Amino acid sequence: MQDALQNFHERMKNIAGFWPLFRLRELRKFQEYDLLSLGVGVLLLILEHMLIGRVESDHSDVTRFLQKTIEDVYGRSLSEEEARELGAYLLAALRNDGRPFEFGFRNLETGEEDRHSFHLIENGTYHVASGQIRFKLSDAGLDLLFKTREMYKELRITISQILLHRQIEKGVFEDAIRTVSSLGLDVRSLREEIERMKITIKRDVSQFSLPKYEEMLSAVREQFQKEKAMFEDLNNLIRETQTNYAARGDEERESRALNQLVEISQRLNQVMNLHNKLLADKLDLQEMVLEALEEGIVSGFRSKINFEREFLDPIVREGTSLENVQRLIEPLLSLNIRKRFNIHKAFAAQVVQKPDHEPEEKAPDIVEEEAAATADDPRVKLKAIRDERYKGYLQMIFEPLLSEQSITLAEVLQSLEADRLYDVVNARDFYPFLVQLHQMSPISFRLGAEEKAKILDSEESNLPYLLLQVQNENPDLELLGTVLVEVEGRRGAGAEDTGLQLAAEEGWAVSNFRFYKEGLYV
Amino acid sequence: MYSKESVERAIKLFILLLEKGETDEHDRDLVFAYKEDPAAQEIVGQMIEKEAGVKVLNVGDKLYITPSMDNKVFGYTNEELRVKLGLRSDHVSMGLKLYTAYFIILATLAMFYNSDDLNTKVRQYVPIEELEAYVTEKLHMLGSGEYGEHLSAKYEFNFSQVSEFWQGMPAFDETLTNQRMGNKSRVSYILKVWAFLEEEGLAKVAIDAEIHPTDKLDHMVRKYYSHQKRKDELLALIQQKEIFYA
Repeated sequence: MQDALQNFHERMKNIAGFWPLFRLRELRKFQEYDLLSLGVGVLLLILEHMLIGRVESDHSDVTRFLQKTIEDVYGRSLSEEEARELGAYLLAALRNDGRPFEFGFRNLETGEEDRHSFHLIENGTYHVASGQIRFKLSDAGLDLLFKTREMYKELRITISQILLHRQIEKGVFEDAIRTVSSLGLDVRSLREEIERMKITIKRDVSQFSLPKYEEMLSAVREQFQKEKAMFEDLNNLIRETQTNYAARGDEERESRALNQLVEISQRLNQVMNLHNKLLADKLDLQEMVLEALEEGIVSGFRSKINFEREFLDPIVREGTSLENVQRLIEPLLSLNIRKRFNIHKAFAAQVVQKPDHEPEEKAPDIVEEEAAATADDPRVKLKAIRDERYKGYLQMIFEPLLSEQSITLAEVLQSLEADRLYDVVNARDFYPFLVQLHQMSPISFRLGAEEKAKILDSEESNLPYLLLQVQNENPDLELLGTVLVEVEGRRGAGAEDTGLQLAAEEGWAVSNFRFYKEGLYV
Repeated sequence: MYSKESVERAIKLFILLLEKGETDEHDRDLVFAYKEDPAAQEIVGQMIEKEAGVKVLNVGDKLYITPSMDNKVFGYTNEELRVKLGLRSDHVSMGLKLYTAYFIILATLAMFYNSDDLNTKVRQYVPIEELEAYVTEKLHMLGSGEYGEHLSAKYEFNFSQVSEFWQGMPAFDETLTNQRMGNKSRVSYILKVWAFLEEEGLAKVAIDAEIHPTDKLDHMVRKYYSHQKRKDELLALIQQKEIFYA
């Protein structure tokens, strides 16, 4: 009887992975669909995106996937909004709102209550530009999906290698490409396992037993050598197969196969490189254990911390002064380095304004006299003056926006010094400038190199070009993302009289524009 | 007597940390040399940290710098923090707004680090609705005690006002498609504070609805706040009432 119950915890752990999926059936919303199946589908989608050469999936990938799947399977077409809601709902359930799933059970081997906690999905990379988090499967999530393919974790790499070997021998190259991709995934997941181990060691070295670690390390090393030999074997096989196909001479039929073989060989090389890096990782690990042990001895007086019980609740109960609450969070803040004017900068290399026609001068097909003539052209001079003024206006509006979500023209003008304000509101070119800027809305500050290259200078309406120049001078402006320009008051009803009386002349009124950063979440 | 190399190494590291706040993979050589050099560590630990009022934290292969309590040189004034937090200056008292913001920061930390037996975050992320409900619940009880009343009299705002200010805002501004843009709802307020944490490299905000702590935050909590001596100092601040009882 006891023998039958050996490793009961491990077995329950393997079962636990499926439990969150079945819980999907008990959710309240979207019961018209089989949420269990859709949940598995979402996990498979995330897996698919983890294969080599793909970008990890994010919320919008899941949305698109669900929209298409529901259309195909249920014949219903969901709006993007509905699909997104369904996706967010499923992802929240599959991620348990960020908490680990806690699977409690009675351990029959020990006779005690036992539990296993795990995540199915982990955060992958964070995409800064769109504020999207990408997903990847956790080890438990990967395990779960691999179980559905009847494979054992320790042997995942070996089994995939054997499979690949067979597929190449049989000449089913399309399947072989797939296998090689998933082989890359296996190697990466092993790498991540080592990363996780590192984190565990860093967290609490005292719970880490050195003999157990050494035992594990030698097992891993042995496995690693086997896998390495197998990879070399595979590489040879591909080379031989390539030679065979090339020798057959039937070019048309074989060229497709040869192309596929080249692809397999390239991907396999990637995987092998990754696999070789594992060895370096393992050495790192060895060094780190020693370091962590040392550190553990030095800072043996570290305690645990519970922010809710020890900080927040007492503050609420006792009432703590503003200064002291600030002191509590101060250690988290970056240092406040105050910048001072450096007089030596006066002698440093200065940024010289490049003349506007410089790019033309560089072009080989422009005759030198012509270029020289244009420099004296009054039109060019006027344009240079206007461009400088426009750039000044652009800086005046967009630089304050770096620290605000939105800002109105009135606020911009209020913050100007009296002289500058007079200068701006009485400049006739300020008003056409505003109109052009309004027409440019939405204004993107995150252009790719290709898009940037398309923006050229011109005699008239060269505002996009000037904006690009301002942005080059102050790269921080990229943080603004996309800025919308709207007439203040148009959005709300009944607010008609919002014009600003700027200059002294009668009848000079201008709309109070509002500049605001476009959000990422609609 | 320290060698010239050790002194140089210590100063180099200090300047680097002043500039960047933390080391990255480009500084590998310097960090490695520093870790192998007990004299340089002593210079940083015994002299620079003390005199500059900072603490250099060492986590794995990374080093961070953080201001010690009441640092006059590298600390922020209330006004500077207000600007950093993106809070408008209007008719609502600045102290009250800052208090609310600090409270949100502590509440965010409390959602991640609230285990008595784990020295690490207990979850991967927190949805904004959950934090909003949590802050609302906690603020209900703020400053109802005797000392709270005393402090209320001393400062330009009182604790019940913090709670009223919070309750007075709707959870969401339904007229906005982008809550980050607003400043009149609780969710917009939280997003402002989260954006600040993001700027400080302590968290990532995803789809304006979830906050994910970064390794940096995890390291700071584990290294700074969990340190028994420093923790005791901080806890003493919460209990500090000598003005009241004096």
